[in-house]
Amino acid sequence: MRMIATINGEKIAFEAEAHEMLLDVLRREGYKGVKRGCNTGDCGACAIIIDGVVVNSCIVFAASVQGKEIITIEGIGTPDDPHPLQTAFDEEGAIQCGFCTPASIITAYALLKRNPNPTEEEIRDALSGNLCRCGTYTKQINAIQRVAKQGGD
Amino acid sequence: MLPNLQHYTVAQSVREAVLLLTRNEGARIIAGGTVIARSSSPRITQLVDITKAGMDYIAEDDTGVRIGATVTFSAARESPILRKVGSGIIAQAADHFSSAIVRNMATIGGDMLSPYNWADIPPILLVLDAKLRFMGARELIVPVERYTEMRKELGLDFMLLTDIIIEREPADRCGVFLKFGRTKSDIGIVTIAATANVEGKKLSTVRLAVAGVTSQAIRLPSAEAAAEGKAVSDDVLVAAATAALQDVTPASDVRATSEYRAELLQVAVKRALAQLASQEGSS
Repeated sequence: MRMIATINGEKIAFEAEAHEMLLDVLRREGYKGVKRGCNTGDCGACAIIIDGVVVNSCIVFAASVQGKEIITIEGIGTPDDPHPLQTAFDEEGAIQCGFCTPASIITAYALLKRNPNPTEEEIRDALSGNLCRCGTYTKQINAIQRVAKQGGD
Repeated sequence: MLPNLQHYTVAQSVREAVLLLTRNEGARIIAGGTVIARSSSPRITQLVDITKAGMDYIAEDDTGVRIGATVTFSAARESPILRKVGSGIIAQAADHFSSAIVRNMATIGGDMLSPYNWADIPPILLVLDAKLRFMGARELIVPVERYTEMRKELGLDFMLLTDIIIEREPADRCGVFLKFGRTKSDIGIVTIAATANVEGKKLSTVRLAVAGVTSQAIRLPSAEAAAEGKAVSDDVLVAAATAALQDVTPASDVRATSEYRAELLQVAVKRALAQLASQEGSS
């Protein structure tokens, strides 16, 4: 099936079989920042934004995104021009092994878009679907609060 | 993975979804996808996506409240209408449902029809005397209370759930929702929902239902009768908790033993009724 979706602001055409998950198709198309963790929609490592909403791409059928707008970590910042969240995660030590980081930043990005001044409780709630086996949660919260204070989303 | 899936179709209306569903016996509905995406059933050859079919509304009028089947837990949590229904028990359940990401995907309708006995929405809809509207060759309105018994007979698995209907009187009752799990967002070991009209400490039209205790969500008629028309006191709470064990024999599973669930069930019944009695005037 031929699909067209806007990925990180760019119209992208790609092929997807009916049974394929969006996670697999995105990685095949080169969006390697989308990580495969549990593959059952529990860990959040594959989180992306579709039409403004954070979802787990491992349990989204690729065929469902025709015409939709997708944001992956590649659309948030680059090594040369990192997003303030990426800088803050780095400087606060919120990146240990780094596997959950792209998706945690996606979640934080969507949160700050919706709620530029979240309370700690709101940040914890928003991150509830992004598991970090290194246990960097406190540092992630610090990083997100720092960006919120700077007013930069 | 669904090994024999050949078609994924996004239905643009209820009518189109029903048509697609009836045309192919291998067709199944997908909304949030949190359950079906993990399925490996070889029987499924087509998925009919209903998230664009216009069922994501929460509407209220004089007769009551209607919840479209594809309303997500995130939307339910933020709905001012649902914050009032039964003291907000649907919104409270959404607050304690899984993680923020899964709440963005999972739907109220999907949870109602969930194959899991610990699903939160069925006991809540039981105590709100809710009705389910299904569309197929014809329209059927089925009380939640009779859903399990009528499911096979009416072929509800091959119809489309479109709405949940909650009438004005139950919507205006006081309500309590309590989920006993290991963490806030974990699935419940015992989950209880309760509604009643509250006057002073006196409860009437008492409804109690539990999930996670036995193979499906179930009302507790003996426990309800023990509290009906009574002013809540320690004696009434004990009588209702004891009566609950006549209504249901708790099952053992990986999360808890039958004995543990029996204790927890009694605590749940007492706590739910006590919290109802403290809610006068709040509904």
